Amino acid sequence: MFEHFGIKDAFVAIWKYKIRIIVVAVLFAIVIVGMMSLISVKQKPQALGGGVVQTEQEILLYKKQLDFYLDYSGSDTALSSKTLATMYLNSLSKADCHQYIANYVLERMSKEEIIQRLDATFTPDSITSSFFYQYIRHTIDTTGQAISLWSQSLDEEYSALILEAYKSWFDKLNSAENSQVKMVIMSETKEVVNIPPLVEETLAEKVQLSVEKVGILAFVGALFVGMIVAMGLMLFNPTLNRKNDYENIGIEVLGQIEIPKGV
Amino acid sequence: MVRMTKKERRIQEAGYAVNAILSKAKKSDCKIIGLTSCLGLEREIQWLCEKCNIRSKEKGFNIVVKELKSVINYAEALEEAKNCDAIVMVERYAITTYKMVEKMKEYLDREELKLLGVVSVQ
Repeated sequence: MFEHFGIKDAFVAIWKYKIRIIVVAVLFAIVIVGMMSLISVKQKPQALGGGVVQTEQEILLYKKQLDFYLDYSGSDTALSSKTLATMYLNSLSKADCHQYIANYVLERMSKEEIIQRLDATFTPDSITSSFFYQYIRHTIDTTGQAISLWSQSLDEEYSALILEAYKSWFDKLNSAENSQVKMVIMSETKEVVNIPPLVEETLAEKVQLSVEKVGILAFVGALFVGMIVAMGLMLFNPTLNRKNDYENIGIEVLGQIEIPKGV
Repeated sequence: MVRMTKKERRIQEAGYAVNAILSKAKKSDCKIIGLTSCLGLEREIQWLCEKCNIRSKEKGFNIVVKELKSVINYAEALEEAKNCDAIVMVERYAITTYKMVEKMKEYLDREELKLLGVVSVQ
């Protein structure tokens, strides 16, 4: 197979099929560009937390945020604002925190009211102690000290209550440290987060590539594949491409002629 | 050095090919030469055949060049080839495959026909 195929033969193959390669590459690029521009797919719905999923309708989420740091005034060198922040945030996922939050919220808002406010379809029995954890989010800054805690849901009062519950939990933890830890609040904000409705987007928008880039990529890709196919054809069905090829199989080349067209 | 035009070069190369066929036929003591091709190339074979016969007459060689269809594709061409003393192939670079040439050689060997060589067509 390889005895009749070399680098020069590869180039002969590409040159021999050049028109076909280019035509196929152009057609392929046109088809791909057409598909990417004309075929539309629905956006994938985002999960927004708290059982809320993006739909074809616009959704308003009510967000309440608290930014603070923990100021330690004690003498224990093992404790600092940074270590306390880590400890406090780790406590949020513990069972006793879940129970505390559940007690706090349910004293002020019944399960039925929660279901109504959140416009939810679940039953009161599904509101367990860990239910409220899905409504709280937190981040910590690069210094490891400043904490941002926020809650967002479909109901403004519910979001506020959740945040208030977790703030109360932090106050409880502070009191356990003999009041040597103080929560220093930097800001309290509220905002309405507008979640746009699901729309149909073209394949090009989905992959975030312009139609021109898609066309160029498709054309170059098809060119490359075309060249490989041409070389493959030459490899599996090699032709005699030059005088040496005939002489190597014992046939003398007597000469070469070029007959003009029309003769 | 005088530069030749493309037409002049073409005419010169054709002349070389015709001379090569006739001189090879004369050396091999062949009187009837068949021109055939794996690819058909009937127009090219007809043109070459005419030029060879004209040159042969001009030079006073007693050599006749005959056009044949593709020996590997037509049984009657193979029958006609048996009446020739030798065969010259007319082929195109990058089109004629090794398989075609091997088949041609096999047919010629089987009928004990001499292959003088090949003329390439551009």
